[in-house]
Parts: sequence; C-alpha cells; structure tokens
Amino acid sequence: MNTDFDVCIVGSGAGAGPVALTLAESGYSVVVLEKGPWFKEEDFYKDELASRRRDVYTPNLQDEQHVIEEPDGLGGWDSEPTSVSGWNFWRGCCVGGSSNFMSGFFFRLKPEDFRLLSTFGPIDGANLVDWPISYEDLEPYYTKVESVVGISGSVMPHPHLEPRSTGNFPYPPTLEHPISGLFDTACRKLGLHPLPTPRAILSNSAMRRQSCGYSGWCGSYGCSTGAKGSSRAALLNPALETGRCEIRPHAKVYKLTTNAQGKVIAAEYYDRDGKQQQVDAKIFVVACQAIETARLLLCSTGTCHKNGLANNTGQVGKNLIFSAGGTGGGDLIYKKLGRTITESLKFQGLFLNRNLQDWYFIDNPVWGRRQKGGTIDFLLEHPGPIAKAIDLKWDDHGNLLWGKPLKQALKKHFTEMREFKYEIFCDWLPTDNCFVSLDTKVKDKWGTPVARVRVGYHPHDIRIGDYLAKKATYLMRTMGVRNVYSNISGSPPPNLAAGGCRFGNDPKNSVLDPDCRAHDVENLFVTDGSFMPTGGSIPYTWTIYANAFRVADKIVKQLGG
Amino acid sequence: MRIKKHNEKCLLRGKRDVFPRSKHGHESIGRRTFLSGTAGFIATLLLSPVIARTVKSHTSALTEDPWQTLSVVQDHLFPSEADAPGAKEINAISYLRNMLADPVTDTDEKEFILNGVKWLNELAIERHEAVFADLPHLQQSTLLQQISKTTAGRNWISKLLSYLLEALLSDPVYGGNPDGIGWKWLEHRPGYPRPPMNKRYYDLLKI
Repeated sequence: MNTDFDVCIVGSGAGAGPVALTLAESGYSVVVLEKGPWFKEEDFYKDELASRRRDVYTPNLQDEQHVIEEPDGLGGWDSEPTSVSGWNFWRGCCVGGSSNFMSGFFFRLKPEDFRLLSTFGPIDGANLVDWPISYEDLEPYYTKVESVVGISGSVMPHPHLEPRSTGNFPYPPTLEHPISGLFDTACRKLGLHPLPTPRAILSNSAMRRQSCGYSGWCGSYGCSTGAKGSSRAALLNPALETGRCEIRPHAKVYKLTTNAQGKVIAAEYYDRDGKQQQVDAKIFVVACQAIETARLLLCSTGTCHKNGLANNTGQVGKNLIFSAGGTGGGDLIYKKLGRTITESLKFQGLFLNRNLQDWYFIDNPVWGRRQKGGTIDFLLEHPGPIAKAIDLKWDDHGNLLWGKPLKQALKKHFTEMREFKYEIFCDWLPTDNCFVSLDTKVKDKWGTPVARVRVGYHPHDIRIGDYLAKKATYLMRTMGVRNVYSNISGSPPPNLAAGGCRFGNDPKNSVLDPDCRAHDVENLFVTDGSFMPTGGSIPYTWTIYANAFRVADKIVKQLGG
Repeated sequence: MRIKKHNEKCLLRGKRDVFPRSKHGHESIGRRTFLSGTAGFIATLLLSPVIARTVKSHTSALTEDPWQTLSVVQDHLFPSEADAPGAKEINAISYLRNMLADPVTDTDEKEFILNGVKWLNELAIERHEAVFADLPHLQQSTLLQQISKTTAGRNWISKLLSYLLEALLSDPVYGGNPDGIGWKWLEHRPGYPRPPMNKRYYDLLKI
C-alpha cells in the first residue's frame, strides 16, 4: 500500500518525540501533526506576561475548552465549562507540547510501582492493577533517556534507590544553591537521606544544545538555550535532521478514519485556515496528552468502532490519573540567615535540586500493613515577580489591599524573605470517579465535542498526602523556615495527567496491549502517558519518554525494521 | 495568619510548580462571577430609585474621557512616595491604555473596566454632586472603600490592581516599569533573555 508516510504521529510532546526520532533514524518517513504553533528557542523569553498572564501557549478558552466535573460535597457532581471557570486545562499546545514548559524534575518509577496491587494489596474503591511489564523491561529506556534527552544529576545511595544498569548520570548536576547545603544539614540531623533531584537540564553544552543559562525560571517558561530536554529541543530537532521527519504545526486532528476492517487509514485535520486536510500512513500514533488522546479516540467512530476507536470494551477515557498530592512552604527570613546566604537568595539562578524519598514506602503500625507513600520535592519560589505581587494584593483575611499598605507588603516580601516550597507526589489512585468522556453540548470552534473530565479522587490519597506534609513541615521548621503552611487537596494539576487508555493483557479492562498497541486496531499505538494504569509517586515525564522509546522499538519491528 | 491566606490559595486548585499552573490567581476563579456587576455600584449599594434619577441628569459628565478617572483611581491604589515609585512613575495609565487597546484582552474585561468608571462617577455624583476626579482626596478615598464592600466594586479594584502590578513589574518593553524602576525598588533581578520589541506576547500569537 502506498501511503503519504510510514508513520503519522498526532501530538508532538514527550510521548511523540521518542517515536519520531526512533522511526526517522531507522529509515522510516514520519509526519508529526501538532495543533499548536511552532515556537523555537528564539521565541522564548523570560516574559511573565506571555507565559503566565496571557496564556499565549494555550488556546483561547472561548475557542477550545473542557468541561470539568468536581465533587459537589454532597455525593454528586458539579460541572462547569472552563470558559466560565477560567480553570485552564491546557498546557503547552505547541511543537514539543508541555515538555517545553516543564521544570524538568525527573524521577524513575520504582520496581514496586509496576505491581502496586500484588505488593500492597487492594484498596476499596480503587481500580488497582499490576502493569503488564516490569521495571526491568523499562530500565534500558530510562537509561536511554538519560543520555538522549539529557538528564543531569548524581546518584546517591538510599534505601529506596531503584536498580540502575549504569553508574552515574551522563551529565553532572546543575549548579546548586547554598540553601541546598542548609537543607542537607537539617535532613541529616533528622536521620533522613537528602537526594539531589535529577533534572532534564543540560549542565554543559552537548548534542548541539547549549548549557543551562541559570536564569532559574524553568517552570512555565520555554528554554532559550536548548538546555531543557523538551521533546522539541532534544528529540524533534534531531529527527528533522534525518530528513525523514516532517512537522506540521497548526494541524488540529479531529478524527482518525478507519476502513471496513477497522484499521486506521487516515488522520483528518483542520489546517491554520480551517480547511480540512488528511494524511494517510501505515501506522498511526496518538500522543496528545491523556485527556485529548481519549477525546480523539472517542470522536473517531467507524464501522468497526461504533463507540469510538479502540473503545469496544468501553475502556477509553477510564481511570484517568494525575501526579498530585499537595504543596506547602514557608519563608526564609533574610535577617535570620546571615549575609552570605541572604545575598545568594536574592540571586535567582541556582537550583535547589533536593527531594526526599524516605517515605516512598511507609511502615506505620497504626495503618497495619505497609503502605505506598511518596516523594517530597523541595524548591525555591519561582522568581516571576508579577505572580508574587498579585498574591499580595489580598490580606490575611481575604480583603483587598491597596495604597501604602500594599506597597509595604510588596517591599517586605520582595526584599526581606524568600519562599521555600515543597511539593508532594503520592499516587492518585485510579477510581470510577476520574475519567474522560465527550460533552454532549459544548463544542470547540471547529464543531467537535470537547472533553468532559470528571476529577474525583480517592480519600486514601489525602491521607498519604497529609502524612507526607507533616514530615515536610517538620523538616522545614527544623531548617528555621518561618510561617510554614501546607495545602493538601484532591485537586488535580491539569498539566500532569495520565491514564485513560490503560495497557494490559486483558482487552476487557484495558485499551492497549503491553506494547501500547490498541487491542482491537492493529496499526494504532498510544505513546503518551495514557497507557499508565497507575502512576507512581513522582512526576510522569521521564516514564513517558522511556515508554515511548520502548514502544518505538515495537513499531520499528512491526514495520519490518 | 499565614494559614488563612493560604486557604485562599487553595482556591488556585492544583497549583504546583512542576509546570506551574494557576495563571491569574483569584481572578481565574469564575471569570463570569468576576466580571459581574452589570447593575453597577449604585444598585449593589442599594440606593433608592429617586437617587438613581438624580444621577441620570448628570449623564453628560459620565460620557467624558474615562482616563482621567482611571488615573486618579490609580494614584489612590498605588500612590507615589518620596522613596518608592507610584502609578505615575511606573507609567501605569499608558500601560493600561495599551492593554485595553490590545485585541488579546478579553472584551468583557475591557467593558467591565470602563463600566466601572461610569459606575464610580454615578456614585460620586449621587453622593457629592461631582464626578470622582473633582472630589477632595478624602471623599475619593471613602468612595473607593465603600465600593470595595460590593462584589462588583471589589472585582473592579482588584482588576485595576493587577494591571498596576503588571505595570510595576513586567518588562519595560510593554510600556510600564520604565528603566526597570519597579524592579529596582523591589530589588528584583529580571530573568534573561528579556523580550525584545518584536517578540512581545502579541507577536508570539502570530507564529
């Protein structure tokens, strides 16, 4: 069969880049269809209006939105379109996807994360399953990501260190802030194991990408040196150099068309002018982030797929999960810290790079059996000044502050302290209350139904989050951090979603087979975070990259390579 | 004290730094609720219909250039001080003009800001028979305090404060914060590279 391309990939983020690069390097022709624009290094600046205040990297919510269903507190659900609530569920709609805007805190899953059910046993109301592959299957690809995407760090032995096939990271750690030393001292005093957080940030120039520029603005901001290991900088650019990869920005895929046998034959999309276009290929790969991947499959009905593509057992969109837990922090007061530390705190550029995994597993006699815990990541407040200032326009009682009182609050917060923060990652247990479906009324500007997302959580997640928050706040107080607070909730971070197209051995309760190919569509693969039945207690990105490299090898094999 | 404040922060749902998230803080919670106030400040302060009629007779004053009112309000919200820049020094009014002229800015939001001017002047005329800008400083101050007790008034002031803080701390390429005066005052060092004239956010939308 003659097709336009061997492989057509929908989406261009962390799930897409490894496939594009692997296939193009193996001699296959690849087209990447990305609904957003194509920003490059020369378009990225430390511009808070662009990144945080005017949402230029995500669609206008009037044009494209979601409908979110939240618990109403009475056992039912309240739903609200995001164009009304302003709760933006998009993140980084452009070539390279949200990996352009990540902070790049990179963690591997641990062997037990692949078999949560058999290791820790069932939990009422949670759809726990073991993965159909093991840590050992993914380990070579975690290692590959370290060198190809570029992960800097240093391996520190600790009780929960995951097995590694190589010694240290291929890139040394990025430069660290003096506060990291204070943190280490406090941890050791408490008998804890302070760990350097690996970052998908190059600490020296390599692979035709420049080293980190140490502005310290990573999260939410595109990287202008190419040091951040986004799918665009690390994978798509080299894929383009093979001459066998084409990227089409402003290509919004709205349907995958299937033939009478149920095989995908074309990706239908709208171009920048709103004209309908299509591409055919031997293999189709969907990697639009969990929510949009489920939406595209559900929208792609056909003769053999009456309820949506790969949805013959009704599993598409089910068991959506988030990388969540909670946040907290407190203030490092300059005058309590001495001059050297204070001067360093006023400088934004260096990284704190610390996390704790002492409670990744918890043996707490009160809870009976051993429990899965999580990771606490520590960081300094983002240097973006407008967001900080706008927080200060409200006083402690929720009243607006203006005039001289506001100016005094600004002066104090900006010149006398810096916020030290933590983020907790614990498992978001998969439940029947967290899933994607199609909204029956709201459509996007092209007339396609938008995703309706129910974001219920399991109370167990909060219990674990609270446990970890107590540890984090105790440590902070030991360090001399003032005004310590914590905020544990079941609120999902929209940018860190996975699941919805579980992989597994049994088509009855999974969408994809262990190779991430749809059980009932022989030429369809899903390579973003959708495949994950459980997500571990870490951010997902490294695992998404690693799995996409693994699946890319399977695709090469299927194509005969 | 702090806890209370951060209970409010809980509203910023899922606010995490890994790839940060909440965009507009409080304003993002219920855009439509935020822009509510179609009835104006007077209606929400429960004034009698007789008074409302008095206001109507002064309509000519209300069609005047809104920028004078906005400028006076900005001076209240962010006053100039000997050792600290205020609305004037940070070019807050021209910054606000630019933003209201920007097609990216939500139309509802533009209308809300301009309606707020009208409502404030209606209230000023009703209470003191003069437009806001012509009132003595203390009366102006009192009126702002009063409207801040209404939902629409609080939202209006909050919105103006956000633009003021943007004018104070955004890159000078957008017209506020001339020569980094706001950054210097708060000892903030900007991140690099900074946006050039041809790569402001509205230029990025054309890519």
